[in-house]
Amino acid sequence: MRRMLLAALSLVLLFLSGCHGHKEHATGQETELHVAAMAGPITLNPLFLRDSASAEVASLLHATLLVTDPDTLAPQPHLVSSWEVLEDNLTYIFTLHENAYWTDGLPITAEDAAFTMRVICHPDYTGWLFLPLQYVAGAQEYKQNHQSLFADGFIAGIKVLDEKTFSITLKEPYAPFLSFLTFPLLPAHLLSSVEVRRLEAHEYSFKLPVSSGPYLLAAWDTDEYVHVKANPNFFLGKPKIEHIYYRFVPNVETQVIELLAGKLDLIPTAVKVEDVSRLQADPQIKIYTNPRLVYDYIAINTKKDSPLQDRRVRQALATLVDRREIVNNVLLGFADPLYGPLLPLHFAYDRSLHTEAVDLAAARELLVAAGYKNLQLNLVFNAGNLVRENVALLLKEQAAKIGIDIQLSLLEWEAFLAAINEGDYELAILGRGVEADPDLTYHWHSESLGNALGYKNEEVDILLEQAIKATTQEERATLYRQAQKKIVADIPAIWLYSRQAIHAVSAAVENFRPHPESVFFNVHEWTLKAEEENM
Amino acid sequence: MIFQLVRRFTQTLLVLFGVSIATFLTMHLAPGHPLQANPELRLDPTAVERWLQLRNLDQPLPAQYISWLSRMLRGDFGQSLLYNRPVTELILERLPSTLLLTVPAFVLGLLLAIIVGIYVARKQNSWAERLVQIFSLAGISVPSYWFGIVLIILFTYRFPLFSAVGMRTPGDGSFWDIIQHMVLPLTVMIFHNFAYYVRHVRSAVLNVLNLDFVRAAKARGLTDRQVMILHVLPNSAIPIITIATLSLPMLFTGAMMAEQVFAWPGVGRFIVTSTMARDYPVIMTVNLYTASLVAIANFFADVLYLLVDPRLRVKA
Amino acid sequence: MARYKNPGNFEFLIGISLILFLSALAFFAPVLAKHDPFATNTQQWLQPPSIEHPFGTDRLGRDIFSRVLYGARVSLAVGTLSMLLSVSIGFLLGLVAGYFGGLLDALIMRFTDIVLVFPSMLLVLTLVAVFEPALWLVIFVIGGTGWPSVARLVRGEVLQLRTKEFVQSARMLGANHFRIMLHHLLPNALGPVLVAATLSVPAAVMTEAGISYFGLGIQPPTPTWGNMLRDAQLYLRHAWWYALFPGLFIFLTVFAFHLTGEGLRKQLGLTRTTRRV
Repeated sequence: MRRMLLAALSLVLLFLSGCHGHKEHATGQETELHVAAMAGPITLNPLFLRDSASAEVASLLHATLLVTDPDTLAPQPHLVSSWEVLEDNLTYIFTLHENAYWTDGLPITAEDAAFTMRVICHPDYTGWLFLPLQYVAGAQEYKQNHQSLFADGFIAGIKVLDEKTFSITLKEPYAPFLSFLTFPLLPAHLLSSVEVRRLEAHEYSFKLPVSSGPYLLAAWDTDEYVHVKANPNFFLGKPKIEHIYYRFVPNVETQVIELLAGKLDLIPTAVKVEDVSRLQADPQIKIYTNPRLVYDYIAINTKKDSPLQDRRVRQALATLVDRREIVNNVLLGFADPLYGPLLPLHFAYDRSLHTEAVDLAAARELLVAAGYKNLQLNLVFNAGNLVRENVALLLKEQAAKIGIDIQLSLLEWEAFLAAINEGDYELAILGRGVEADPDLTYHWHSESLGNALGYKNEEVDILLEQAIKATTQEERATLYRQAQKKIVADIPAIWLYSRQAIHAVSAAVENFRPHPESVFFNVHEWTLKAEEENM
Repeated sequence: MIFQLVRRFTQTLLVLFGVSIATFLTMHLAPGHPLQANPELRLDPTAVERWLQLRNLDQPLPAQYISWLSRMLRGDFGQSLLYNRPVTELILERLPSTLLLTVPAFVLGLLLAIIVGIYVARKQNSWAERLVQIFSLAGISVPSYWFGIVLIILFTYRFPLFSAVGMRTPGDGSFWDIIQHMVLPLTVMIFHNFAYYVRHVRSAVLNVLNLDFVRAAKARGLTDRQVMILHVLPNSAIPIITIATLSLPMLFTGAMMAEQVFAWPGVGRFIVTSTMARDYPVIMTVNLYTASLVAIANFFADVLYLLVDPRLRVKA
Repeated sequence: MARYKNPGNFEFLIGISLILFLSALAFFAPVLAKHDPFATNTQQWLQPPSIEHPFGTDRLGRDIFSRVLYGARVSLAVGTLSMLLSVSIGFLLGLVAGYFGGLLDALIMRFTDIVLVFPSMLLVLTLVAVFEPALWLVIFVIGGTGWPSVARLVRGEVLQLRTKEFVQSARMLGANHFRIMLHHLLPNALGPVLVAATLSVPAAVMTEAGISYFGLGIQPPTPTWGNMLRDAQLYLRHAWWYALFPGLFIFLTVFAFHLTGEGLRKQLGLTRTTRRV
């Protein structure tokens, strides 16, 4: 009896293992690509993106007005096929691509653009896109005075000129404006009759019947995957790969196991640095890397009464940080050390800020000069990020050598956010995403909402205000370089590194060219090698 | 007896009411909400304020509780703060996948436990009995997520036989594909359930075996098999059903663990991610659902007992 | 077929010696551990077990053996302290409810019901997510949610004992409530409670490891077995030792307490009650 059971069991096992095997790349002639994701999207509505998974999926489903160049980050045509700036530097005239259609066959019109921007300026809109649009003439007034629950009426600065052209007039010059027009449009013919307050929860956000991107939604299976199909009417031509499955595999290690088993074709962005050399040795897999617009830094809380209000103490800490060690040994070279608030990709990046010296003696002197023999500081960081944990431990070791005792408190994400928001920390390891435009206003202007550190330097404020109004790139670059020097000299933070995106891609995928902000930047050009399809 | 049932029932209702207050308070004493300022993201503070207003999260607590309770009594559990969709819908979407794992794990685990439990109960003090007892203790001592991890290392990487992720291969989802994905999580859960049930089954059967009328039946010359079928099984059925009913919280925890390790798209994983994201309406609803389920199961366990054991009717 | 005369002893002995062994490891961790459990080494990460590192090293180059030993301190502290807490609460409430009966009993038991119907893992997870996780909080939450079974047990015992002659006569002799509870009821309910207490330790250890595994428990770099397993999940393919040892120690600890509890139960001649009291 027992033997029979055993035999039956092993038969079942055998049978099951026989069923298992490489996923077929093609159902009939249709090509498929399976992409790994740590989490599923939360919404498909492009105006309410708050998490990276939703943003990633959105870039498959929606086309943006403009894009930024993957190398220079300069604004480039996309849905908007061309634009001109009038003499006053305030009015922009945009022309939409003549082949731009919604997936239901209707043309994408200037009214769609106007409607989308009215939604963004509507008092009931709860996303963040109003921040750049507040510079549009009449936008503030619309936000304050608009009575209707719908995104109707007019914004003074936005005019529909004809079916495909519209103009935007700013109330004052705002140099980075174009780089913020990288949001997609909503179909006015479908959503103009929806109250703005109901828009986020509207079924459009999860059923997405109509969109404009290279792919259209085929299915969103709860907590499993998003399945998208090539959009035959995409204005840049139908994508070559027929189906993309964006599959939620919440563990990076199982992602690699699935990739090696041929069940995934692409692990975007977050391949572990430790895995790179092994994966590179595999002929089936190619590794791509590219810089990203994110960086990690140590935030210094100077709002609270503490020794950190003394610049010399901050400098002592800054002199301790061994960025080379972190970049080479912890991140295994897949990062750029960072010495200031801009990234190497930005046109105003300043290479002269590099300082390599880790000088314990000097750090100790600074500390003593500030009047401290020894010091206790707490360092807050979030759980689940081994690199940051490692950085924290390294800093603790280094600091101990000059008499600074760093207490580590590692917090779960939400508790971490609460601690940061309440200013309940002395030092904190944080990450930050920056914009394509080098404008430093959002994070460093003393009156900006995004100035979480409470940094205040009047000279910097003036420089940033000038830079926003400046007309040429050279002029802006000079101003931002000056501002950077001053910010770095004040040591409001210790910049650490900017990690690269590491993608592991099946060797069958060709024309893969990720953008610093989006892995699916040129997804419509990707192809799968023919012989792979017969596997 | 009817009086006792009614009494038990009102008690259950009372407990559920207490549960609703308890869940509501715990969640709302907590600081933060899913949109709290995140230094790594761009958020517009005025927009966030509006977001809170639109969801009535800026109201005083008692007002929030009353509106929550009154909506809940009408069957409206509110919307997820994260997904902006009705919580009930989100849970119901995930329920089938959870049941797909939990039900077979429960049935097979219990069945196996009954077979083995009866077998060893009859062979008291044998090697087999000792082995099963040690195995059962060891089984409930193994952290199921660790067991899951070990299985993943062994059977998806070293000997790639099965899938470790999710419920099916996207684009496939055939019967065998799903079975293939179920094998590892199911193994973990059955193993644990079996270990948990077998001790209880054994002692339940043992209790019956030692009862006078069973001994009498043996003395009357019935065969072991006849005694088993006629007397022991019917009489140990009720305690076994009770154990099964009372193991509901354990089954839920088991599902949570297995779903987490194997990325199974079910309610268990959903509640963990929702907890991490402070999605209060979801956490409250799941807490309330499971608590109600357990309370109702307990109620039925009591009813069963009242029906079966007349001695209890007089007491209490 | 071999037969045991007194099988309870066997389980109890193995269990208790395992517990003593693990406690010794935890207690002497500073002596036994060759390495600082926090000291990182950016050159020596993910090294397989060797004489220098018997359990290998983790991603930050820390010695897993040392971390497992220090992790034992956390696990045992959480296990025993939350057991003490839950047993004290449970004992007190059960005693009061069972002895006085009436409205007080009803109130306490309904409260017990409320706590009992939450799947404890879910409740603990919620509470720990809501407040900042720290050692004392984890102990408090696990202990504060684990008492209902003890309360019911004690109440049941007291209900039975209350009608017994010796209590009745003590009452007739004019002994006050406190005295009766202390001298007559307490000692008699001790046996079952001892077993329940022993068996609540593994539950607490398991819960602590579970929430740490979910990332909500005691936070790294404080080593706990649960958060070590969480980290190890990222290196399953090439560092089997990373996941193996912390898990093994959770298992050993939980197993040891289960064995001891079962042994005690047999030794004291108690039968398992499957129905609710």
